[in-house]
Order: sequence, then C-alpha cells, then structure tokens
Amino acid sequence: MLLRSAFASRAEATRGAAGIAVSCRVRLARNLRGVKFPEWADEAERRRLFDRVSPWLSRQAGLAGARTIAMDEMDEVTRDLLRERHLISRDLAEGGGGAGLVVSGDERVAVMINEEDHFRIQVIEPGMDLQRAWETADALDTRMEQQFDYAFSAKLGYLTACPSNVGTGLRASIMVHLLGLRLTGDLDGVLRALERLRLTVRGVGGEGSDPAGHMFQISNQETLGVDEATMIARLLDIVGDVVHQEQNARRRLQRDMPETLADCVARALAIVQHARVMETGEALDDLAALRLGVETGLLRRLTVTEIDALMLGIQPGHLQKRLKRTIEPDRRDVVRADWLRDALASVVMRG
Amino acid sequence: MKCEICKQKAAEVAVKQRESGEEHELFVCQDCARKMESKPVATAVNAVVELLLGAAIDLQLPTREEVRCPGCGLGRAELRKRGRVGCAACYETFARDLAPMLRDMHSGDHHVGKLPARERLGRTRAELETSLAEAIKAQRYEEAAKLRDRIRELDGGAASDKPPAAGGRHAAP
Repeated sequence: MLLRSAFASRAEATRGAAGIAVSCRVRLARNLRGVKFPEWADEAERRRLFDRVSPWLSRQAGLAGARTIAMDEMDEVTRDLLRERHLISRDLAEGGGGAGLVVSGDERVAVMINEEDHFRIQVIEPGMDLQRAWETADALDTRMEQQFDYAFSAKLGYLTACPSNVGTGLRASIMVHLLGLRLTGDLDGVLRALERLRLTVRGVGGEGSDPAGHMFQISNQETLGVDEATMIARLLDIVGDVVHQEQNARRRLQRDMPETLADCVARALAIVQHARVMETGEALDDLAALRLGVETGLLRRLTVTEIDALMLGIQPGHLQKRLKRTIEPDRRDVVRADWLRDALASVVMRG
Repeated sequence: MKCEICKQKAAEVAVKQRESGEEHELFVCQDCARKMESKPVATAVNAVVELLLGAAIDLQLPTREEVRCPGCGLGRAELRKRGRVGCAACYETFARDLAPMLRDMHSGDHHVGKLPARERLGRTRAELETSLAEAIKAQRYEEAAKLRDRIRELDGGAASDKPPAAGGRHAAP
C-alpha cells in the first residue's frame, strides 16, 4: 500500500525539469498557541496533537489522496525511504510517538506533524516553479489557520520553535546540479558568493560539506523582516543567475576543455559498468557525472529521467524496499553495484 | 558589600528569590548562592563566555536568574542549551534573551508578510476605528457613518440586514 509507486512518481516529478535546477521546495513552519512545542512536549501531548490534526488534514483538498503515516508504526527501511524522497527529515524519522506525516497521493504536498514545529507544510515542485509551490503551500496554510489557532505575534509573525524560522516561517529552496562549475574550478567562488548573500547552501544526499553528486540545495536564511513574495523573487533571481553560470561553465567545458568533460563522464561510466562494490555516495557521484554527460550530449541510450530514478532507487531505503528485505550495508553495496551494471550496460559514449 | 544571607563573605552575585509570590533580589556570596540552588550569574567569567557565544546578555542587568516560562516551564538555561523555545509564550518570557539572537539571524526586527485572517481583520478594524475617530473629530459625519457600518459588518453584521457577502470567511467548522 504505502509508496507502491516508489520509483515511478519521483522520476515523473522531475519530468520537464531535466537540467540544472532539479526541483524546488517551499516549507512553512507553523505552531499552535497554548500547546507546548514538540521537543518540549511529552509523548502523550504529541500523540494527542497528531490524533487531533491528522484526520482533518487527510480530508483536505490540498492533500488529495492523502496517506497518514505515524513514524512509530513504520519500520526503519520505510523511514529511510521517506527521508530519501525528502518527504520527512531525520528529526521526524527519529521523532517517535506522535511524530508523523500526512502526504498527498502524488507526494507533492505534505505536512509533517510534531517535527521541530507542530506543523511543517511542504510542497515540492520540479524545476524552479517555486511560485507554484508557494501558492499551493499558502492555500493549504490558509485552510489550516481557519481550523487551528496558530501561534502568531503582531511583531514577530509566526512563532516557531527555533528563532531562525520566526516571522514568515518560510524556507524556500531550489536544488541545483553544479558539476560543470566544479569541473571549471569556479564552484567555491559561487558558493561563497551565495553565503555572502545570506543564502544557505547545503549538499543534498549527504550531511556536511561534501555533497554527493554535486547537488546543492540553495535556500533563504532569513524569515523576519522580508515578506514571502520578496524572498521567493530574490531566491529565484539569485538561483537563476547560478543556473546561468552553470550553463556557461558547461559551454566552456564543451568548447575549451572537452577532454576534461569527456574524461569525467567516461570514468563515471566505466565505474558504474564494471564496479562490484558501490557505496551510495560514490554511486550518486557517478550518476551525477552521467547526468552531465546526457545533458551535454556525450552519452547515448540514457535519459535524465532514468538517471534520476536510479539516483533515488540506489539509496539504502529504496534499495531494500525494492528487494523487499533488510540487507546489511556491505551486502547492499554489492547489490547496488549489480543493479547499476545491469541498468547501465547498454549506455555508450557518443562518437 | 557583605552577603545578604550569611552577612560574612563578600557578595559576588545577584540572585532572585521568590517569597510569598513576590520576587526579591539578593546580593549574596557564591556559597550562599549555591545553597539557594539559584543560578549565580554575571560573574566575570561567564559574562565573557556568554559574550563570546553571542548569547543574550544585558550587562546593565546584574542578575541571570532562572526564570521559567509560565506556558511550558522552559528555563533560561535550557533555552540557551537548545537554542529553541518551548512554546509560543517563551517569546514573551525570554524576549530579552531572544532579541540579540533574532538580530544575529535576521536583518529585520518585525514581521512583514502573510497574516492569519483573524489578524488581518483585527488590523482592519483597528484602522477603521482610527479613521472613524478622525472623521468624527473633523465633523465628516457622512464618512463616519459609512465607517461605522463597516466596523459593524466586521463584528458580525449585527447592524446589517444584508446577506453575508459571498466568499467571506467563515468561522472554523
């Protein structure tokens, strides 16, 4: 029942957005007045909230075909799978009793309950359609404010567990693939510039500074003193510029450094077609290089959609769900390598 | 100054003591402070540490007493440790501690953007009342009558026999 279309739907979600901006997300943090925030509430209080709000949420038009998922009823593999699909955070996965998720049938819209805040409304869209993500989140939020008594202050706006989210409670982010800038040696400069602009840059698919596959999530830091429309426009403007720089980097690679580009793609292809043991991070790096290869016309018999499906499918939760059993990490690396060899056997370099 | 409890050692820290509902400030020595199980504060060392941490500190205030939020029971020490509040009321309880954190995190100091519907109505009503007072003062009675009607509409349409406007907001089901 749960996530039966585990591989298809996220690949579909990126349809039409094959390129540098992979997907975008809007998240709104909301809390209730007079109810302890989840971290400070006890389990019984958290459960009461979850039991009260989840049935109502699951009936909302904004969450069509909703499924309600209580974290403590899910096994670890399912929690990993939800996390890999960016539907839940690590905090929610480990949130225990009362922590849960109501997610729409198409997985575009979700509300995390009892994460750091009582509600985290989130909407994911392919490409850079942040505007649409905001409109969807805004509409669901407006429905929710009629039903629930939000914690709001005239001065500080929406009150959140962490002061860094107070105000609009908005975190808008765009995921971008910046391998071209890495290969031309310009990535560090771009990342530094983004931080000077008070934007947060995080690697996707890994904690810390060494992101798997050179996928980065760029998001706003500030939530107080800047309204939603201005912040979204600003993020779109800046990330639009980053995308433009990545395009230029790719053009420069093709024109001035074709061997560097071809070598990066060919090595990745050689590894995925021959390796016998493959960790998640390495697999994501190689698949990201293949993604660049497809987008720059260097590879045949492979599409971006197929790569995106593999990038999701080879992660531990998805891998184990696909095989319908729990597998030890060492063994997973072998299974992953087998799968990639099989899936990518027919891919060849052009010319 | 001598400690106000043992009257012997030098007073080094200020603590707050709650007695029959009232709060008193006492200047006491370290030993007596420990006995009171209050949190001694504003000693030179922790003041420096707090400054280095960029934490909230008000040097004019000699006490860093253990205030607890009436909404959730969160104490100042926990707030500092977690960097997160326990409930909405903490923003009032710990306003002084949170102000510098907010200054570091955000370039603005007040909310701009979406308002919940009830806030929007509240603001509109307050604005209408201000306009009404001004209209009466300036003897613009026709305008004042219109403003009064709009305020009554907002208050639930008591003075109006018109049907509620389509698309209007409804009370929560």
